[in-house]
Amino acid sequence: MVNQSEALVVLREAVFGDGEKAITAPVSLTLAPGDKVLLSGPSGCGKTSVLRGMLGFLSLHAGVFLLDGTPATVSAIWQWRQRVAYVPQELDLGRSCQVNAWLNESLGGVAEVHESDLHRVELGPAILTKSLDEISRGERQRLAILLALAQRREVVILDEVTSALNETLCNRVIDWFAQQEACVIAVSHDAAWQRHGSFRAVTFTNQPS
Amino acid sequence: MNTPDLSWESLGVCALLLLIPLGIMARLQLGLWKELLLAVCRMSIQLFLAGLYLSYLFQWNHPGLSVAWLGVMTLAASGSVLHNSALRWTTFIVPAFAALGLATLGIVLYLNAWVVRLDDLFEARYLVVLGGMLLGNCLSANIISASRFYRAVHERREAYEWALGNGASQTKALRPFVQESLTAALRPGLAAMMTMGLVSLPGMMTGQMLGGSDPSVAIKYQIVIMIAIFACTSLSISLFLLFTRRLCFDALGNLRVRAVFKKGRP
Repeated sequence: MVNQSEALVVLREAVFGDGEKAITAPVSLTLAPGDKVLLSGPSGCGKTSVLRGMLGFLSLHAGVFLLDGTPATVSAIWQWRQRVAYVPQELDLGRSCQVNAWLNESLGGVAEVHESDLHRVELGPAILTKSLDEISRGERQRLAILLALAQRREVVILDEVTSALNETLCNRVIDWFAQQEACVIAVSHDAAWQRHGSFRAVTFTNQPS
Repeated sequence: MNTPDLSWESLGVCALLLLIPLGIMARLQLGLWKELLLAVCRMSIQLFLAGLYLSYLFQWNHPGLSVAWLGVMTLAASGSVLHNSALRWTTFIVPAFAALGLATLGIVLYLNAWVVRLDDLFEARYLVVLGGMLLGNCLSANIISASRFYRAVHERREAYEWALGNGASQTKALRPFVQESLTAALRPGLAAMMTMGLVSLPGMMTGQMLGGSDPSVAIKYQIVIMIAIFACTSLSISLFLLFTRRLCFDALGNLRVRAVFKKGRP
């Protein structure tokens, strides 16, 4: 068990909601630096919502939500977001700008996506000159994964990121995240994540314990 | 040269032209004839009243009264367009009024001072007519772009949260949405300028020339109007988005869906 004052995130019986009603079941988990966590539970129990709650996109209805050992205030959450790389389930950007320009804009000049990185997710350099609305959902997901890795953040939050990938690529991506120094928390229906063995499973259910 | 006045009989003769659409509607059973008659009656009454109040406004030529009149027009116009949009009236009416009012007044005063070079900046003839023209042209672009903007942020929530969740400031995360809505709002104005004088003669210019103006004077006014409309549209939309941002997002940057949209929409 990690000392809670060293933990990056502590949730104790935390319930997240949209301001009016609660959306998630109560969840308790502790994320320490370097932790690898797989959040699982039956579909519809609000796994995605827990991730969104941890990023401040939902509000805390009950329980405790600590960042670096102190309550997650508005300013703490804004700072926290700068230490996180986040990959959502769907990334429909609805824009027509060039992939290359989008990558540079997203990385803000601090990091780069190299051609060799593209190869690792089975993408060719030709994709760089395509428009964002021309590429497929799977291609966008792979680019978002590359961006998450290139940013070298302390924490990586992944929501169903392997859902559009083939088996080989899926395993490669899981390996890749498992080897990161960062704390990684993932939600996935893909059994490959459990089989991999490097991720500690945190299960939560609809029933309040 | 003076425009020959139109007699009431002439207007009646002109109204006979409506027999053409009425005939077509009857033949094709469009069922629009009631609406057509209502629309023509409303137009005539509204324009008649407009002529009446304009002649009084020009006669009194009182700055406070002209500005107040512009204010009433802004308020009525904002209200009517908001009514037809998915945006919530109570959240948007004040910012819409402020953004449109500031942009219109600022640009009209600029035109009056440095373009038309009036001695009296608040001369009713220019203030009310130019202001009304700018308002009419900017208003729908404003509401369309604002509702498009908030709908896009709502529908593509994941893209917005993706940017925030990777540490972007709210301004940076919203930039693609702002770009998209401004581009959409400004495109029609650009297209209108591109084809102006080729495809059609603008209504104001036609009116001016029928009213006896030299075409070379009329085109200068037309150029002034087109530039002013474009400037006013971009300024008012930017102000509108700026003024509503605080009301429509919470401290963590999340869209306050209930404050933005009417019940059950979008």
